[in-house]
Amino acid sequence: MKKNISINLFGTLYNIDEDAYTLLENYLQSMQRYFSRQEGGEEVADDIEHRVAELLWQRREAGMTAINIETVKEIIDTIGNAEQIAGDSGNAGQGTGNIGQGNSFKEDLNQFTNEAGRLARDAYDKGYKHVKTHRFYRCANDKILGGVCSGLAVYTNTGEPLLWRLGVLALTLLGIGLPLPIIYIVMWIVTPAALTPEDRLRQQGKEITPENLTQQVKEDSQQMVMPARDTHRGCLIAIIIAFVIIFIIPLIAFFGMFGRIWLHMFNMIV
Amino acid sequence: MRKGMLEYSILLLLKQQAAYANDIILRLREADMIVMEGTLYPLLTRLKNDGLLAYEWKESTQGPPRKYYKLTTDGHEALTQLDTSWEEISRTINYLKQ
Repeated sequence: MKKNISINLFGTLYNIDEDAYTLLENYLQSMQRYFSRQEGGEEVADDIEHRVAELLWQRREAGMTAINIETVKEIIDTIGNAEQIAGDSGNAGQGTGNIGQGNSFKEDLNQFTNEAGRLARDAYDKGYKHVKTHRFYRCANDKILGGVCSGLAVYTNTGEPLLWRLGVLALTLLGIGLPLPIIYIVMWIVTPAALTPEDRLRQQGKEITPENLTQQVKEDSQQMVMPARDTHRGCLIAIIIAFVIIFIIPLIAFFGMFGRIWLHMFNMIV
Repeated sequence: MRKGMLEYSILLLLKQQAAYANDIILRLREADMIVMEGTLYPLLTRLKNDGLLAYEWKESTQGPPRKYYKLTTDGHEALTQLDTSWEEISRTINYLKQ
């Protein structure tokens, strides 16, 4: 049994399973964000959304009363073999198996025939320069406190966040890493949490292409990573307050006491 | 490049009659030109922004309204030029093949 919700796409209502909805929404948002960086990109994203609506309509006409996650995956595969949306179908030479040898011939031919082809290539080269960045993010979806350890595990590609967590804990308890909790809290405050599929790609140092995005969106839906929010903020505040109470206040009290003694002695001398 | 081919093909297809994205894909498939749907949208948008195509919305009985693309005057001109250069090339190639 699955929870079902109702969505409105261009004025038509569709019943869709909750997990299917999450996948679809992530997909559309990713495409929107991807294309929004290019000229006319919003229009392309809008076209894609229209097409999604049409494909959903067809399925409903065929008697499908509720859209499930398989259907959404089908639709994503139909529209979004995103390697090609990125416009590198020619360069890649893959995924177009039937053309095979003929492809290179057509390529050669077109290189000097088709001015439009050249213009297209230029436009795409300009528009699709993918920036590959590797950034540190806290994991918003896999965390005990702030997700700093799991963030480190993903960033360094060392797999299990558990080892990082145990390491930090052990070092702290052994007294070697006393500054570690402070570093942890500082990192918690200053680094962002990975909330979108793009963040998760940057976190792993992967290029943000529609292909990778689609892949990531699918993976997220498989691992039931819901569009995460940076929760546990309250927890952070509690920790900082606890920290203040345990260390800072005794410190102030301590020096305050000294202050009074000094004052007392000063009074006595005078 | 196939992308160049694709543009030429789209212009050829739209020369006769206006069509919307899915028609174009089906026609291209008929002609053994393999196109993923997603490829087409950026391409159509760019051809439109270059002034070669124009579209108008039409209500559809099978879902949301559709964009019907057709050639503009510039589009027809570009197509004529492409036809000419295509002719030249194929003449050259055919000559060399003999």
